[in-house]
Amino acid sequence: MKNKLYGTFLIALGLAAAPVGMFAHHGAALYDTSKRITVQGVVTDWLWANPHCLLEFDVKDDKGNTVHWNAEVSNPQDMTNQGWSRKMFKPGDEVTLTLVPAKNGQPIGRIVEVILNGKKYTGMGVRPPAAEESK
Amino acid sequence: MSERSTLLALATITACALPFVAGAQSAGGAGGALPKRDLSGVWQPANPLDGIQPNGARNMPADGKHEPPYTAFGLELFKRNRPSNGTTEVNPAEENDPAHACDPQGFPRENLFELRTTQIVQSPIQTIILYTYGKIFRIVWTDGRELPKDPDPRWFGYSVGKWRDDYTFVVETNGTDARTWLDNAGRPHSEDMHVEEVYHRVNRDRMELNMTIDDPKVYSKPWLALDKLPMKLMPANTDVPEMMCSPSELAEYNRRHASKGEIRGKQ
Repeated sequence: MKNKLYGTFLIALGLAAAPVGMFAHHGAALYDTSKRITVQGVVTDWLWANPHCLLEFDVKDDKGNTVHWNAEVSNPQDMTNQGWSRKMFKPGDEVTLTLVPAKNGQPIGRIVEVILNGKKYTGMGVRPPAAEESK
Repeated sequence: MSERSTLLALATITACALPFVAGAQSAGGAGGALPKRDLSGVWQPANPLDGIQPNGARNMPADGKHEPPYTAFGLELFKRNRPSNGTTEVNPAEENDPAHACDPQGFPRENLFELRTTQIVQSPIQTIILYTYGKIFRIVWTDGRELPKDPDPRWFGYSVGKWRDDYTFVVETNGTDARTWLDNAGRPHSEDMHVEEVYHRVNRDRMELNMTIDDPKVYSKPWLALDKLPMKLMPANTDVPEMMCSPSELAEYNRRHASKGEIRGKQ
C-alpha cells in the first residue's frame, strides 16, 4: 500500500443529533444510536451493493495498533441520491468518519458523515436531501 | 412463467398501453389539466421517507404509541415474529424476517416498506403497477371480474380495480400468502386478509394513497395502514430503478458486517 496506515482513534463521543433508527432497516438493533464517534482511517475496500454499501478501513488506536473497521451506509440508490458513487473511494484514501458505533464494541458502525479529500459527504442517520421537500 | 416470457408479456402490455401513457403525460404541463380516470405515469412518495417506513406502516408505526387492534390469535402470531426494527426489534442473529432471507416481501408490504419510484401503466382491461423494490409488478384487473373465491395464496395476491369517480381508483386484493409480513415491524396477516387501496388523484401532479387492512382472524376491526400518503408525479422519462434482495449480496453484507455486531442473548 502506498500510504502508511495511520489515524487517530476515538476523537469524539457524544449524544446523537438525529434519529438514526428512522432511516435504518437492516440490523438497527446493532447500534447504540445515542452515541457518535469520530475516527481517521485509511480505506481498504468499498463495496457498492445491496442491502447496504460497506466501507472497510484501517484505524490506528491510541496504542499504535491497527484496527480494521467496517461501516455501512444505505443502499446504492439512496447513496447516489446523496452524491455518493461506486468509484468514490479507492484503497489508500485517507478519510475522517463520524460513526454510530455498535453496542457490542466491535469495530463496525454506521457512517453519519465522511470527509474525503476535504469534501464532506452525508451518510445515514440524517434525512436525505430529497426528504426535505414539502409534502 | 419463465423470466423471458414474463418480460415479453410486460413488453407487450406496455406497448399496448403506450398511447394511454403518452396521452396522460402530455395533458398540459405542471398544473395542467387533470386527466379523468387516469393514473398512468411515474410516481413517488412526495417525501421519500414516507415510503421507506422502516418501523412499520406509516400510519401504524411500531413506536410505542400505535398498535393495530389485534385479536388474541393475531397477537399470538405477532409474538412469533422477530423483526429487526420497531419496538419489538431483536438483534440480527435472532430476527426471522422472511424478506431478509430474500423471500418476496409480498403484498401489502410492497406498499408498506421501501415504496419508492413506482410506474403505473393502464390498458383498457388492466392497471399495471411497477415497483422499485424487487422490480416487482402487480396486475390489477379492471375488466369487471370479481376477486377469486377461495384462491390459492400468492405472494402478491389477486387484485381487481374500479373507478369510484373520475379521480378515485379503488383496488381490492385477496389471496395473499400468510408467510409474508404486513410491514417491517412484523405485523402478521392470514390468508383471509382483504386489502383496499384507494388512489385519489388530487390534481395533475399529486395523488394520495389510502390503504386499509381487513383481516378479522388477526385484527378485531379494519385499520388504516396508509392515510392519504402523498405521491407526486415525476417527469415522464423518469427511470424506475431497481432495488433487489440478492442472496449473494446479502450473504456478503452479513459476512462482512452484520455478523460482527451480533449480540447473543438478551440485549
